[in-house]
Amino acid sequence: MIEALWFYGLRSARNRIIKRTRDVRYLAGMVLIFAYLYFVFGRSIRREPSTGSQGFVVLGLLLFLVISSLFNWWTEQTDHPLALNKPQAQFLITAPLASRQVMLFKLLTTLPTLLWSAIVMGLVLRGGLSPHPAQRILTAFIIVVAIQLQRVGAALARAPRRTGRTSARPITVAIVRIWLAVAAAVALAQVASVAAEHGMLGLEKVGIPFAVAYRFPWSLAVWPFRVLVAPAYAPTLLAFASSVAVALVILAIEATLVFQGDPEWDRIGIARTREERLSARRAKKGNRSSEGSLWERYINSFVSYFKRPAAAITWKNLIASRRIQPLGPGVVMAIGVPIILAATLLPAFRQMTSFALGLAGAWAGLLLFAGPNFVRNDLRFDLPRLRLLRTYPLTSREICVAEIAASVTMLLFLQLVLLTLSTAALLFNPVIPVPPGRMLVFALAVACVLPGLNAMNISGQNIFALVFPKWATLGTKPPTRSANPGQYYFSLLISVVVFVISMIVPAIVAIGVSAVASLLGTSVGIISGAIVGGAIALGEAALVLRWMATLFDRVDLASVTGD
Amino acid sequence: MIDASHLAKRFGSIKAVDDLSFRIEPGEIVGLLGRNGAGKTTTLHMLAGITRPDSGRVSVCGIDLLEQPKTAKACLGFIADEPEFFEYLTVEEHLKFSGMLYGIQGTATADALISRFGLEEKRRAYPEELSRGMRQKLALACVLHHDPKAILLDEPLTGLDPAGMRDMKDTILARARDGAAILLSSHLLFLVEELCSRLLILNDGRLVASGTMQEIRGAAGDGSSRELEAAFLDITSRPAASPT
Repeated sequence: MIEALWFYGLRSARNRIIKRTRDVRYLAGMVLIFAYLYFVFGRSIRREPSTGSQGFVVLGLLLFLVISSLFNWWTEQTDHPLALNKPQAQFLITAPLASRQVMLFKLLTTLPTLLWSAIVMGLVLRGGLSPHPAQRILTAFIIVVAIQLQRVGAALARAPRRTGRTSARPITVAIVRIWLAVAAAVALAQVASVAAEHGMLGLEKVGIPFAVAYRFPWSLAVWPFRVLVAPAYAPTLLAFASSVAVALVILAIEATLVFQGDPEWDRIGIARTREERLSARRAKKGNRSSEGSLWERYINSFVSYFKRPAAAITWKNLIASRRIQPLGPGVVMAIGVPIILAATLLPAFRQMTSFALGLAGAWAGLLLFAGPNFVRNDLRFDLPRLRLLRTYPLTSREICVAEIAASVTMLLFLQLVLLTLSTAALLFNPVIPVPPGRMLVFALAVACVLPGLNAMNISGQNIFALVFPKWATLGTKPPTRSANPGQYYFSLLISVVVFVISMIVPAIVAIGVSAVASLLGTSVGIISGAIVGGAIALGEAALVLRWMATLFDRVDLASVTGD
Repeated sequence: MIDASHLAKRFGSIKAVDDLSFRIEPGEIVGLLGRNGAGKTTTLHMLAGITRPDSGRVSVCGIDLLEQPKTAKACLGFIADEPEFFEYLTVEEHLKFSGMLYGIQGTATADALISRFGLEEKRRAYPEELSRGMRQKLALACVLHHDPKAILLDEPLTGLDPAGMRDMKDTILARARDGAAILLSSHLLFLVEELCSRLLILNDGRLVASGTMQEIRGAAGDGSSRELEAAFLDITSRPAASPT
């Protein structure tokens, strides 16, 4: 019977590859990706890595591993990682297969995706790690497999069974959770300690306490994770082989524990549809009120200003942002980071100002560059319903503009909250060498360019989804955490590359305008440069949207809906 | 009024629809029949502006769909075999959304449709909370919201219980009486016999027969629905040629 599973797994993987490579677009895309990887990372493979970032890259991997495990054990997973899709359920649940065979099958079918992610991670993460790409890729593979096993293990351990109890005892789950929380704190402290050593983020003044994270018994909390990361920087072949052997022992222990679980397939069942997921989420939140939440009422009044029919799509997508997308963390960060900045006004925390500024800068950068990967309530949500969209009495361009407008609005909202509150928090901080008036001018300039930047960036992501729908996350299903970092990285990478290229012209013109207008005063120069730059970025976005509308007309229904 | 002229569509090497022409007058209900893969859904998709034909023209209410898609779609309604909904909008929000799309002011029409289709209790329900029949009713309510003059229906009775079927049939007949041109694709010959005044039969993407019920039956003898089935099987088993 296991041959049937192998046949299914290998044949469907083979057919998928053949199908993709027969499509010129995807073939060209693959060639471009590999060319990019070669030219950006491959050519410098033999170069010795710089030692400056050694600690950070290793710690970054460690942190990625620990935080992923922490999430797996502390947060609710949208889908059980062993959930079968509908055809799998139809064939496998009714077939005479042992539960563990099905489990093994499900785990093996994720391996190609994990391997792809490992290849990307191994090629991209170089600094401070081994100069040999194979060594880095193998380590990355160990790490992503460990995370996947953690996901499955956590889901099995916490899933309530027919008896009403969970598979693992609550005390066991609690112990694992506490251990992972301590491990995460220790890993973070180790990062802070290295940052303090390098005199970064102002932590050198408070760095000593963090060093305790490297000492026994705290270091013990992250030891199993360090073992999994260790092959990445083993200096010799012997050290590499032995570190891989130890890591494999850890993986074997994890796998053994996972296979102790006995999944109740009918309860894990079929991968939940987005409707079922929404239903479950709503059941937790309770009944909706007839008028909707305060947020929805704001959306209603906001959209009612726009009398055009296309505003209906923007309205619908903004509603979706409230009901489907977990924007809570974004809002918490947009408010939380300025609170940390405000705390530096107090003399006791003043020495943390540069750290708080670094945090605010990192979050602002993340919102700008990676924001479109989080805020996706645009065409990417709606492409699976392309058939429906095309029946609307709207031109393709109107549909595309309305779709993009929702994501731009949401992202802009988060950015403006962060910008306004952060500026207010920094205005009277004596450590900042910028007078309050000038700071307000800078904030205003940033606010002027943000709409254009967001429109350009989000349009880029949507065009990627139209050209390569099979490589993009479409629909309302959230992207899984550990299974597709490769895909996530690529869409982020493309977003950043397109974004940077598209900003060249607006930046040059803005600098020119700013230089000329500065003759009337520096503030006038900054503001006029920002306004012109922002307008040019918006103009570019409008041109891109024209192209996007053409692509929207041409996109094949079957490629996005599975019809 | 729906007017299709020399429509053609290929998917790779497959001719999905080949040189298809027909016209549906206001108040007329026309059945679109054919075996699986005959090109019915592709035809409906081309008429609804979902798929662009490789050649040929489509005119809805006298407006060219390819040249003025926005205006043409404003008087068109399409219900797919599997109606699609936004899982994050409630029943009344779906109607609000369709109202906004077609520039309908106020909620009076939406309220009337909710009441007409017995969706009052499900007003604030999300699509996944609706039964198959209710979902079909919601799709119909959204389509009828802007009072389309041309309606395209793809397997409208799929999954409906007898009461739901009766409701749907009554609605289709009522819209035709109100002057809408309706094209209905279905495998259910009894439905086609009951509702349609004329039939179009496709085979391998070509129109192989068109005419009234009697004319179609005449191709293989006339009489009961059994004979319509026989006529259909007879017509669709022949190699595709010019229409009878």
